[in-house]
Amino acid sequence: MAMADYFIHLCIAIFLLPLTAFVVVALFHRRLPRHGDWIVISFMGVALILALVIFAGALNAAAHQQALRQHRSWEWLLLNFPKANSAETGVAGAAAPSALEGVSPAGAVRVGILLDGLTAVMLVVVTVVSFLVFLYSSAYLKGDVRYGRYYACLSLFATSMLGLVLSDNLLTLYIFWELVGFCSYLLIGHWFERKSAADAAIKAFITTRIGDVGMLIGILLIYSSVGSFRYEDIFRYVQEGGMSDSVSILGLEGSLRFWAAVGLFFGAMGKSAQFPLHVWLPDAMEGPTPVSALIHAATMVAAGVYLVGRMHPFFPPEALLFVAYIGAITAALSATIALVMDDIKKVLAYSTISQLGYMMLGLGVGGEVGGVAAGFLFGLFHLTTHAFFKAGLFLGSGSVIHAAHHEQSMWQYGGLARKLPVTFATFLIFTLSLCGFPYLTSGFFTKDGIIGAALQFGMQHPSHRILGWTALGAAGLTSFYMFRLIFLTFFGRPRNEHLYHHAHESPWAMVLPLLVLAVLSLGFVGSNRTFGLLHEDSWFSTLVKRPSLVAHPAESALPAESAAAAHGMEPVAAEHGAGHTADSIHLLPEAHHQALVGSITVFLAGLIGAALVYYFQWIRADAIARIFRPVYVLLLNKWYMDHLYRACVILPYLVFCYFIRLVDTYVIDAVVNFWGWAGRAGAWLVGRMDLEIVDGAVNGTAWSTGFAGRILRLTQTGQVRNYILILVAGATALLLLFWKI
Amino acid sequence: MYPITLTHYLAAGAFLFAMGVVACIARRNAVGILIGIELILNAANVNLVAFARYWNNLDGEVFAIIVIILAACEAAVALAIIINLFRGFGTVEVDYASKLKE
Repeated sequence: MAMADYFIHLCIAIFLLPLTAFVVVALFHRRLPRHGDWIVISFMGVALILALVIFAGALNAAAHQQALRQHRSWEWLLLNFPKANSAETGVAGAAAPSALEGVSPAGAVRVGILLDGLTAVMLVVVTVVSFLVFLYSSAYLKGDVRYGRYYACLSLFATSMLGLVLSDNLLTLYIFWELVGFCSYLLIGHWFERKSAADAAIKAFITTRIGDVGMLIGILLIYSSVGSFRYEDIFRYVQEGGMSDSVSILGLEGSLRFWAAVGLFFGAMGKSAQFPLHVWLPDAMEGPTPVSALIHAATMVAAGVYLVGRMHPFFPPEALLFVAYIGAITAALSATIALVMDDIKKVLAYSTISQLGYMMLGLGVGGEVGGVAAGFLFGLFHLTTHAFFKAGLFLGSGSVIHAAHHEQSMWQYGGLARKLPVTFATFLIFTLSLCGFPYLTSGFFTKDGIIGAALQFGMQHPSHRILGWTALGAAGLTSFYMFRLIFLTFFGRPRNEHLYHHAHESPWAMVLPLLVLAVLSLGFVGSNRTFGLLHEDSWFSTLVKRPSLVAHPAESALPAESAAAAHGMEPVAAEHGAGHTADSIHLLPEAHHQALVGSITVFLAGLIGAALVYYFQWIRADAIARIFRPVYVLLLNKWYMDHLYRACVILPYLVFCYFIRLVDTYVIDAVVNFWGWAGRAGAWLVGRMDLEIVDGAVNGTAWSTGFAGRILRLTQTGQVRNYILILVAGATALLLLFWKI
Repeated sequence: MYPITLTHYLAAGAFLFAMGVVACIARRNAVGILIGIELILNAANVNLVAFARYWNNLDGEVFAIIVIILAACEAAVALAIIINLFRGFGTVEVDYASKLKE
């Protein structure tokens, strides 16, 4: 297909543009005017246009009932691992990755670009948010000491993020995954003179790395079984029943596939700040605010969700249940912490964690067997809409912080709506979108979808009802803390007169991204009728399809139970799936209804509650805090997660290090020192020998020669008669000696 | 009366030689040393003539004449040295002629 090449080439261009900008700016930013920010911004602008072209192409294909799916790969490495070879010999067998043979020798690792609907959407999300944040940064960080370095890092980040979503295999995904983490580290520590920023960067890096260890184990488990890193090979392999060997870890029984999926999810937990690895994200707010918007709200933290979404068919139902519960816990836990935070960015950070929890919950309940297809769809859809409005919230908070001369405590704000009208208006739209203002905002549709899917999941599996209720409760908390933020920041009387008087609206480079993102947060993005494509589906559901591994009864003529049993699943799915097509992206009417009513109710409840406490002040916040003092302290200390880590991880680690140091000092050093001492003693001994014996011999020879000379000199009188006397005496002696007669 | 045999001549020669050597060793006067050397040479002459007589040929005697000539030459040179010694040091005592030693 000619079109295929065209789009793949666009993808390559999208990837190479920020990479080029990175190389140029990183090397030459000192010589370029404005440190080369215009290169980074303009290149990203071009990438944005190309991404929009691909997106339009994908929509066009969808309008013609075709799914965009283009794939190109190249041979990269030759790994002659035994397993890779056995894949070749196993071709005759049933479960061999057939895509490899004939194309590459066995053990060849092929990497490439996979362009499908999800990739097209992710490309647009990443390029749009990146471009706007790049533009915003040019005003926000004007005159910063490391302006050039900042832009180089941003560009490298964009490159890695685009590479991550373009990858067709787990290997390059992992590489780019680590690269985005590295860029995150660099950018959190942008102002590394501040110890808190440097610590936060290290914390973020190490915490996500802990999750990445699990991810690497998962990837290697998959590779050792499948012999390929490519998604399609992996899916084909598990579809044919691979990786079903039972493995017991820590007394838990599970299939190899389950453990590999959990391993992958550990990586996603670290990257997407899921409980209990969420602790790094609030601290990451030490970085510049545009970085928080780009990396820690819109793109990088969504990479974990993207991974789970991309590998979704690989996740067995038990693993998805784990994902769902982690997501629900994260959503609720961080929403409660957000209630009591004073720092405007910390509130948004916990809100981000909470929303990521929602996405995970959606993906978790969106399993193919016994799950709700809408959950998968809305999980990823929420990723998209959330990227826009949460980036907008962060950029808006950046605008406030900029106006407030880098004061971040909300108790220093108040009444800023009059001073920052554009920021306030856009911020309100973002907030409404996040809280789910009915029908007019994009967030409403996607979050509602997730809640509905979780509720429907609860209907199908009554023992997991809690998931839906948790999601609904967290939505109410979201509404409360976001309006608390709004009321404290923009309404009421200025609590800091000095700050209020100096506040001013931000320059156009900061306002423009806010306006664009505000438009993208409106209801049409999430609505079913946008772009007038198909009658019932949203544009997203026409682009992104849940890949299917289960053979449909119509196609394979297998009974549903046996298909489920073949994959080691509970038969719950079959009985509840009856009467409702498993692949429908639509919710059951009652679930949809419940979600709609429930989410509007909790939205209003949160709004009214926040208004009563923080706007009308009929209820005093400190009175509540006093009454519920233990809860308040618990929340203020973030459920003591940091303390827990300090006590359970960092302290034992330090104690361990201390003992290691003792061993080092008293055992290893002792051995080394002993040998040092022994060497010195030996050298001393050898030195003495040299001095006494060798030198003694040499000196002795010299001395004895001299002595002999001194003695013999006495005979040299210079008088001839003495010589003659000696001559005669000698001759006489010889005569007597040889006298034989 | 015992006949005078070769042994007597050789003994006389040895006696002369010993006297000459003793003169060379003991005398400090340069002229005395010269005389001692003459005695040694003549001891050799005695031996040469005695052996010539013993073997009944003239070889020894010819040698003896050469030695006499040699002795004359030697005496001439030695006396010249002694005269110069005297001129330089005002004495012919050889112990005083020790400038090279210093």
